[in-house]
Amino acid sequence: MEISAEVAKLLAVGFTMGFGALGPAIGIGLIGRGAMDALGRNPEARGPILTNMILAIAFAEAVAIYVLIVSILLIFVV
Amino acid sequence: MALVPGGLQNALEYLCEIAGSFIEEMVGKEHERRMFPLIMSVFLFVLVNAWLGLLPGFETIKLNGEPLLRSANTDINVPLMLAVVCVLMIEYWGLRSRGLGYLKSFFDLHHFLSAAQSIRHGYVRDCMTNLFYGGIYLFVGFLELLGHAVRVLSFSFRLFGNMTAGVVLTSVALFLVPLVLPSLFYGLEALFGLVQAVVFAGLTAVFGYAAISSAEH
Repeated sequence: MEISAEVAKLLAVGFTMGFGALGPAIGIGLIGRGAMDALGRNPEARGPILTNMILAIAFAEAVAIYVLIVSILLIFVV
Repeated sequence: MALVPGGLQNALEYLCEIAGSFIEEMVGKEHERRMFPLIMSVFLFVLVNAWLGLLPGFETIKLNGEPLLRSANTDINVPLMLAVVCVLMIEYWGLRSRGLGYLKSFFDLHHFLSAAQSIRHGYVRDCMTNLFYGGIYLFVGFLELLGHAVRVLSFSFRLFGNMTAGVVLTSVALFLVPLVLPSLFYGLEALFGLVQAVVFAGLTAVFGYAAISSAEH
């Protein structure tokens, strides 16, 4: 069975984005859970907890953006 | 400029106060004044560019197939420029406030010095242990340098990817269901523009604080 280059490219893009978005999604969920736990324990520290949560989510989301860049590169340039 | 402000000056001072307290809770009172110009400028630049891209006419009016007006964050050069400037300023703050001791977090050579001392006194096993630790710290310092250099890529791709993905998402939403759904994605775009501006400025502040204050490893 012969797989053409076009089919291989499309498969690669699908798998890249599919598996690549798993890690950041789980990571963001864990960060959110940690923030909710901390907020439940100490509702007065709402400001710092939310600020640090947003920053940590930005770090985790950046990895998903790297995966998106790679898949866009695969589709439009290769 | 009135000493007791009223009206427009009052509102602008209020906004500056909000930004100042945001930076202060991440950086501490004594460094906040030093970092405020860069962080506020970066925040306003990213925010205005992101929200300008939402006006009607951006990305839709085409000249020879290319859009006539585009948000500046969707071109890779602008986020790259912001990232390079911010990383250079972080290194400058580190060097300025800790002198050449800032370089000790990358090149930690005191283990080699104690290895030379112990071989001079004749302790061979201590010398071997110190050489081993020196090698490990050299590797760790190299990883730290690599982490600092990767920040340029991380900053620029975070902003560029979010903005470009937002543009693609809105175009796809307009193509699929042109009636009511795109307004939801429009609001999402506005929120993401604000969040990315806050994140860019806030991460610069956090890394600047780490460069200024970290002496304990």
